[in-house]
Amino acid sequence: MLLIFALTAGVMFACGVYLMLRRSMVRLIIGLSLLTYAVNLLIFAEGDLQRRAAPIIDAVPEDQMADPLPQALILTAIVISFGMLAFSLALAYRASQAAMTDNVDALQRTDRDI
Amino acid sequence: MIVLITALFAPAIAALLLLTPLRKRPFWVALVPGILFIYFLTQVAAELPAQALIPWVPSLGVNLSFQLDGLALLFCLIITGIGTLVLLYASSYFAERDEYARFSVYTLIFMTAMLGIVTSANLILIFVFWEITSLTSYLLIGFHHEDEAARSGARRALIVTGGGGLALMAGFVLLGLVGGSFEIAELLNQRDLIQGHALYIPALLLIFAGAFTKSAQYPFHFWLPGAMAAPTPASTYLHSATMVKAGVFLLARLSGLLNGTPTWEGITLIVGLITFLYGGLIALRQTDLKAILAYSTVSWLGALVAVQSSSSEYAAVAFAVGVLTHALYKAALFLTAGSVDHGVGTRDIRQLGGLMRAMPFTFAGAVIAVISMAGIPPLLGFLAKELLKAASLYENQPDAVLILFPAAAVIGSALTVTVALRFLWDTFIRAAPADADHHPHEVSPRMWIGALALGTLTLVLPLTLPLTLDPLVGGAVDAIRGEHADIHLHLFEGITTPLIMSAISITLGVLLFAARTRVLNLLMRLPTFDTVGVYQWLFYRALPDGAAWMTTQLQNGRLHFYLLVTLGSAISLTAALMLLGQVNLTNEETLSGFDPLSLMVCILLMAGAITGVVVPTRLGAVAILGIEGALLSLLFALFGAPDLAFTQLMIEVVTLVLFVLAFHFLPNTFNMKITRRIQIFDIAFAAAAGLVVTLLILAANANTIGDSISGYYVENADTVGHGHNVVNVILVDFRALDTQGEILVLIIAAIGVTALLRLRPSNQSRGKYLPADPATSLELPVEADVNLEGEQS
Repeated sequence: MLLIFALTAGVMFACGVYLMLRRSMVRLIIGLSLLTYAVNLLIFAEGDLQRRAAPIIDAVPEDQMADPLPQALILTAIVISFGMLAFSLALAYRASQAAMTDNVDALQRTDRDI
Repeated sequence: MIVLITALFAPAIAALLLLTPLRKRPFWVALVPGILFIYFLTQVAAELPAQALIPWVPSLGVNLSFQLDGLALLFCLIITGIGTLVLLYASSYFAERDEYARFSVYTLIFMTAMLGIVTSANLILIFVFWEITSLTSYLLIGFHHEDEAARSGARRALIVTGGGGLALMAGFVLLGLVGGSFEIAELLNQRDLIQGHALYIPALLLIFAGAFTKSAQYPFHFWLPGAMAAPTPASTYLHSATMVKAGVFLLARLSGLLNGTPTWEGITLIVGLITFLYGGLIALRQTDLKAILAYSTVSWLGALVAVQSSSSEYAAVAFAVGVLTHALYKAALFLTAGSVDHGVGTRDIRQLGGLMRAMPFTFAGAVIAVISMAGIPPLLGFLAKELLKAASLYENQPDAVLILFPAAAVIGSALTVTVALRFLWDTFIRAAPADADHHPHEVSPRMWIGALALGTLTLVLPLTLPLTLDPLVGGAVDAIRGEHADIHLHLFEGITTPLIMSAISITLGVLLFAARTRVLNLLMRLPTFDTVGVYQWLFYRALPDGAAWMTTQLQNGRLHFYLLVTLGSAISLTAALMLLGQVNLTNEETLSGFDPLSLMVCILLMAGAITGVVVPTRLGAVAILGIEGALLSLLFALFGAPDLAFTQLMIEVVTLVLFVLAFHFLPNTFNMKITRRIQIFDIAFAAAAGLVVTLLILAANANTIGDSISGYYVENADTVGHGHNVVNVILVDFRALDTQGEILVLIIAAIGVTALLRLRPSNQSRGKYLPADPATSLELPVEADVNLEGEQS
């Protein structure tokens, strides 16, 4: 199963990078989200990739539990990436207002009032 | 032990006291080195070496370990003795009391650092003190910082000596790696091991770089003339008597460890002799009194490096006497130059003349110092020059060296004679130029007493050799060579080869002086080979221009390019590591455990991602993103992570809403025209990035190091964290600080979003920050607050 996970994460990462390399700000942000999915998948793949029960003590025996550690890390990552996404959308809105464009490569001057 | 350490740090403590009200009457500071000088004098008869050791960072082998041996003692006497006279001199040199206090602070800190260098028995400790001397030297050269010349001179000295200090540190670390210790005494036991090691040559070259920059050897000499922008007392003390001798001191300190190899002998001899002759020649061309003295200092430092090429007793004696003699007469002459500057108002030798009547006491000191510098018997300078020549004749050398060194010694000494005579003649004896418009006056006793005392010392010491110099020089020679030798110095030992050589030098020097107009004309036409141009080009052209070029290349304002550089570096470094490490990519888990349901979800995820790339509308792309998130949460649910699945789904919904909201405001330029070539390149780049991530996941799983710590959390979640959901316990208990940080990130993001959407600086509102008059300024906080609301509301 690991091979499939690795391939999925790879394809999602590649698509994320490609979207980020487009000039459109919206595509940049969508690409960034895709990239974080891929990275979360990467962390998830570091645990035991067995379809097991949720790690709840007393509900399941310990040897049938899924690995809790990657889950805890990814939970943090999901929330933080959401914060980043909200911020980048606000930034995109403000930047496009100032530059009158959605093209990130057109944002070259910093000395303008926004 | 306590007395020694107190003595070393007493000047620094005095510097601290100058920050208290004691600063109001700072003239007591000269007492500090004065008392220390007497203390070190008593140590001449004491049993040496005295040692003191306080562990500092024992795990790294760095100790506050001090050792007062004969070599250190000789330098300590110079440092404290001349330090006393210089502080006394400066108390009259500086008109402002605050300036004197500031000068004293720098000088006293320097004094502790310099005493530290000469008494340290640990390489790292030497380096620390070494750097402090570079820093205090920088502060003293830039003392009159409103003057551009002072600033650039200070910068130049710091770059050259600081750069050399870094090289020195690297050399010390190499020595420590090879010898297994930073204590000099322990390294000495490993002499054969170190000299036979492959790292010996690199370590030696790095240490040379440090010593030669500090001691102003060609081609690093140029910072020393630039350092003459310092107040004259500082030039006297740091740039003639003490700091510039740190380099040659270090060579002497480490000679027992490093010398005896062809590399050591060849480099010290060649660099030393080139500097010796070059300094002498260029000194003749100078017209500023201090520049003349600076180049002649460079010259003599070259001689002190050259004598260290040999490990003979002659060489060690010549070194010890040479250091002391030069410190005495050159400090006297520097003080004289400062007095002339003070009494006349100029240091330009073309404007000076006839000062012997106007400044009789200054003249008296200068005469003795000049005779000593010229090496005319029976002054100490004569003895130093004799010993230099004796050292140049040492045996067991290739024929070329046997001729080269003595010849250079004769010519270099002759140049010193000419420089000395010119200094005395043009400043004091000849009539003042007709167009010179100045009214010289004698300086205060505090200013002429120093030069006179130092000059007198060069007269008295050679007449009392058995009592004074024999024990002092003997102790230094023992410390340099590591074995005891009975040293008995004699001014005259009959008609010897060195005596004949001295006679030739003095005659040649006087002849050169007699023909000085013609010699100078000839000299002016000589190319200088001054390396300051290289320095200027490197630090004022190449470095800034190179940095500017690099910045415009890397920071070109195009995000596309930034991404390529950042991601490109990341993936190529990861790929290179995996290739070089030849890591395994598969283990038994890689291909096992296929599960049809999750396989299907994965295929959908991949298909969705690719669709997201090609979909032509932005709403479509966001919809795909939502589907991807939903599929991911399904995958999480399948693999026993309900918390993740739930969070992912929630976040996905909010994200979708955010995007659709933002689309309302964003200009729709979703599809921009991009050339085919760039598009193909981007696809290849993205594919490579994806491939590296795939390989990384495989490699990370196939190469686990140690056991996972997951088991710990499972075991302790109930007993320690008092919770049953292990994931939750990890987040809020075991790794609560991480979660705290996560919350902080969210708060910052929220503040950022609010600020971006609502904060709106404009020209009108900016004016509100300035109170129109004091009466309305009370309303300011209220006014400023309005700004947050923005114009829209």
